[in-house]
Amino acid sequence: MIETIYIESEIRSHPRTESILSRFSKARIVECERYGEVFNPKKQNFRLQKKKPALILARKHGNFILDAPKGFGIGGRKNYYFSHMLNCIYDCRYCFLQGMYRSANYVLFVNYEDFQNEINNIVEQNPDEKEITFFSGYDCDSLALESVTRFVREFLPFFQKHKKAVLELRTKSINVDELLNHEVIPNCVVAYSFTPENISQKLEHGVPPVKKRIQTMKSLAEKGWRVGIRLDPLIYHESYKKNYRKLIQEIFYTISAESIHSVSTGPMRFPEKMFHTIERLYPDERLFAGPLENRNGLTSYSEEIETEMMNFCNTILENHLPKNKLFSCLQSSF
Amino acid sequence: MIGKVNFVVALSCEAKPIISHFNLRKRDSTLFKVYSNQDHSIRLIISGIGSSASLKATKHLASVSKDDTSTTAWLNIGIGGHKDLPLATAILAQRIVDSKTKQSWFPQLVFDPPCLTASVKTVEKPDFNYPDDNVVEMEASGFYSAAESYSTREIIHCMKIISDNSQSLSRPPLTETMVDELVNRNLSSIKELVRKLQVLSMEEEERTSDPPFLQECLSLWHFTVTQTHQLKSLLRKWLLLQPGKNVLDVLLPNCKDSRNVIQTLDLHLKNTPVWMDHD
Repeated sequence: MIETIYIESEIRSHPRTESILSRFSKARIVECERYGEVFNPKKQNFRLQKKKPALILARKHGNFILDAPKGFGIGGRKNYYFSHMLNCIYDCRYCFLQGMYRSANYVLFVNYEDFQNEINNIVEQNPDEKEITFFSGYDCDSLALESVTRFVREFLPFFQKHKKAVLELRTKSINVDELLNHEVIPNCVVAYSFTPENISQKLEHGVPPVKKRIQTMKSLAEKGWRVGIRLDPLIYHESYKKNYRKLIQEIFYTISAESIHSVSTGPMRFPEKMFHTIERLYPDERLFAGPLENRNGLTSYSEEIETEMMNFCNTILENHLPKNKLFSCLQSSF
Repeated sequence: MIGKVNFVVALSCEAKPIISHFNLRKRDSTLFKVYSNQDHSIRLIISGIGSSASLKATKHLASVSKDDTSTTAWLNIGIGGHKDLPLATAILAQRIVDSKTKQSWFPQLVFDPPCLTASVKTVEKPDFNYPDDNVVEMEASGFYSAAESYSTREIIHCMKIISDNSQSLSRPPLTETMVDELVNRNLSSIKELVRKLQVLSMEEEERTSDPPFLQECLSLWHFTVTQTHQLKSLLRKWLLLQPGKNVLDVLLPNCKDSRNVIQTLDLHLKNTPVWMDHD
């Protein structure tokens, strides 16, 4: 668990800081001026830090809510994302975070109210929009560190009051007590990311098994929560057809199609430079030895493989869901 | 493969127990006294007192370490004062702040430390006032800023042994024998720390090492610098996708020059099915 907590001096007495510290009485506390002093220096090794990530408590000073990258969405016209936290407790080898940040430490921004004010402003500035989507699990897993962050506990009541704002909690966590104990709110989608079990075992280190995630989705769906499925990124391998078919069948065998808000599929893409960083960190990773190529500044599978995989999965998904619930996330920027 | 550790120590009396325990022998004494063990996996330099001396000595040790220093762990060992930590207590620095420039460094603790951890303040002159919770000493900031040019923060650390506290100010000044004894009493923590750093250093050496068949290829064909990078990347992929197979069996019959080698390898790997484990 977390053994070292860095704290910006400015928020040492913030109530959220004090609450977290009260739950980590044995942690090593180290004060810093700005979180960037710990998180940003060049000479850091993401792979080594993953052995024992520290928690950094900080205040975010701006850019609370950002436009979602082009091609990122689940049906709404207006899409934004926000990151109350940077980095993730899981260690998925395909994740862009390992190439995005030099440090694997978790940064938690404790000034939740500033994020909420900004969401409120965006909603007020768009009175004609019926729905505005806010994605929360872009730079972290929305639920995995709930016991520390209390993010869901604090944001659900906020979104409950702002019905036009749709919150997507993107996760691989089975830690859903906070949701199960909360009244269902219709403008929240709990979206689960999956790769087939054999790929998950190989690439998603520390992530709960696929079966447990499906069971967790089922409990949420039965409680009335809207759930989403994210097959993103799609991982190419020799028996991908057999494995993705099995995964999709298992999900729809367990969860009724009516409970599913949306399914999105997306290819594995990295900006070239980011890919090289990740490849250098994990030269022993077979995933990166696959048939990848550079196209328009991105490292990805060939267009042919991407299209073949997306079409294959979407064809199976169409057996279970109407087309208007299926989305392709063709992210071209990060 | 064995992990490498470079010690930077201010005084001979601080270094003596370390030199003796790790069987280090003097290799150089022109600018600084430099010691190393037989396979040069552990090196030690005596820097002299002060941040600037420590910075220069660290750079010197890097320059005389002929091999790649990016995977070498660096360890500064020395004595320091603290308001109330008991004498002979060893601490590992969790933060280092330079009292003059106010710059801070945060060594990353990716292992269980063998001793307590504390923040360390580097001062220019001996200072026996301890107004805050920092361990006060004179080398860490110079050492850290220099070592950071070569390695990463997970494998650069400072261990300080408490030689003074507010209760000890009235006692006679420290002698070399007393300093030797302070370090000696903490040798088990130093040894444990070295073991942990060797493991990390070794992991990094493995990660950054050349792939099999690289030297054979370089001796058979002439590669430009860019081509050498491409070749390394392709040979790494070969190792993952064709484990146990000799790449030269494919290259020798087909390749006249380095371009052929890269094209042949690339094509061969593109046509190799990607089996993930448990497929």
